Amino acid sequence: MSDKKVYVIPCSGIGKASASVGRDATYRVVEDLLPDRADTLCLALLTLEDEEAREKVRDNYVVAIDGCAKDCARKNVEAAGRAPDIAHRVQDYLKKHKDLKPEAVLDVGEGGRKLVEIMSEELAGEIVGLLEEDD
Amino acid sequence: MKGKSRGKVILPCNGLDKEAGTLAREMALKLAEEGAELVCPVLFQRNPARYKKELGTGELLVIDGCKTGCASKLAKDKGLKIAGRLNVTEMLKEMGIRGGKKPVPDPEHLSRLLAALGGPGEEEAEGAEEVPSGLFTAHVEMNEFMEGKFFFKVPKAGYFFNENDCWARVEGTRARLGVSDYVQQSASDMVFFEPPEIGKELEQFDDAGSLESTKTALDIISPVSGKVVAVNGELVDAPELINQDPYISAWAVEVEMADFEGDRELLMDCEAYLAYLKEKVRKENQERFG
Repeated sequence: MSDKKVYVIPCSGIGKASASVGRDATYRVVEDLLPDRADTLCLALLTLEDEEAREKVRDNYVVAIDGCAKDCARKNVEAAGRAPDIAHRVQDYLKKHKDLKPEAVLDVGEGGRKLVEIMSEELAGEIVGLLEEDD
Repeated sequence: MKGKSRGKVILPCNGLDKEAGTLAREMALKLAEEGAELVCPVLFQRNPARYKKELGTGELLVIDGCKTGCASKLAKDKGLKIAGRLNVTEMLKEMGIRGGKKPVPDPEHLSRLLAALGGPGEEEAEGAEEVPSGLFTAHVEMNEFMEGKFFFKVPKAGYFFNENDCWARVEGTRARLGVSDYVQQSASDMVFFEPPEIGKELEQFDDAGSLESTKTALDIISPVSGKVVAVNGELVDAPELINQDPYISAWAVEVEMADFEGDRELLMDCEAYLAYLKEKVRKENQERFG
C-alpha cells in the first residue's frame, strides 16, 4: 500500500442535516474504520489558504464530502490545487436509501445514523481501493 | 424562531479538528435554535454576498474552536464588525476542562459552555404568524394527462398557478407555495432548496426561495403577494420530496396573503392551468420530436 495518507474533508455543514451525516461518516472513517490511513482536515484552513493544509492536500489523497449542491468541500479542495480523488454528496447516498432521512443538524436520528454507517463503510472501501491502486 | 439569541449573528469556525472545534460548531447550532442567524464560514469565504443581509442587521458573535482562530481571521479579512468573540479552547481551560483530541463533543462540556453564555434561553411566546397554520390538510384530487411519454398531474381544485409553473394552494388568507409536477419532471432530481427568510414581504412574482436540481437551478416565483410566515423545513432537508409529491408535502413556503383578489387576476385556476400545460407540453414535444 501507498505511504500516502487519505484526508477525508467534509463540508462545514452549518444548518443542514445531510451535511451532519457527511461529517459523522467522516469521523467514523478516520476514528474507527481506517485510523492509521485516513485523517481529516479542517476545511476552514483551506479556505484561509493555510500553507500546511494546502500541502497536505497536494501531497496526499483527498476525499471531499459535501452535504448539498453547493459542493463547498470539493470546490475548496480544487482551489487548494488539485481535484479530490473521490468526491461525494450525501444526497447520492440518500437517493439510494430514501428511508434513511437524517432528522436534524444536531441529531441526525435513527435513519441518519444508519445512513452514516452505510456511507462510512462504502467510503472506507473506496479509500482502501484507492490506496491499493498505488501498490 | 425563539428567544434570547434573536438579533445575533454567529460566525463559528468550521469545527472539525478535536473536541474544541466540534464544540464551537455545536454551540453555534444551539444558539441558532434560540433564534440566532448562522454564517457558514466556508460558504461565507467563497460567497460573502450570501450573508450580506444577516451581517447587516445583527450583532456578530465569532466562535473559534482552537488557537488558530479561523473564524476570527475570516471576520477580520472580510472587515466585519465583531460585537463578541469566544474561543472554546480558552473557555474550557478557564473551566479546568481539558478538551478531547477526538472531534467528538462531550455533552457535559457543551452544557457548561452554554451555561457560561447565560444558559439556554427561555422561549418567547411565538406569534401564530411564525408557525405553519395547520390548514391544508384536505385530500387533493388530481387530474392526470399523458402527452407523448410524459404523464402529468394537476390538482382538480384549490390551487392557482402562474405561467412559471408555480402554484399557490389557498385556504382563507393563507397560501402555501410550491412548484408543479411539470417543473419537477423537467428539472429532474431536486438536490437543494434554499427558503426565504420568515417575515419576508413578497410582491406577486417575487422569488420565494430557490431550488437546484441535478440539471438546473430555478427560483420559486410567488403567485401571490404577502408575508412569509413559515417555510417547510422538511423540504430543506429532503428536496427530493418535490419529485415524490410536488403538490402536497413538498410545499415550500406558507404566506399570509396581502391581496389575493388582486393577485388572482393574473393567475390560472386548476382547470385553466391544465389546459395551459397540455398545450405547452404538446408544443414542446412537437419542437423536440417533430
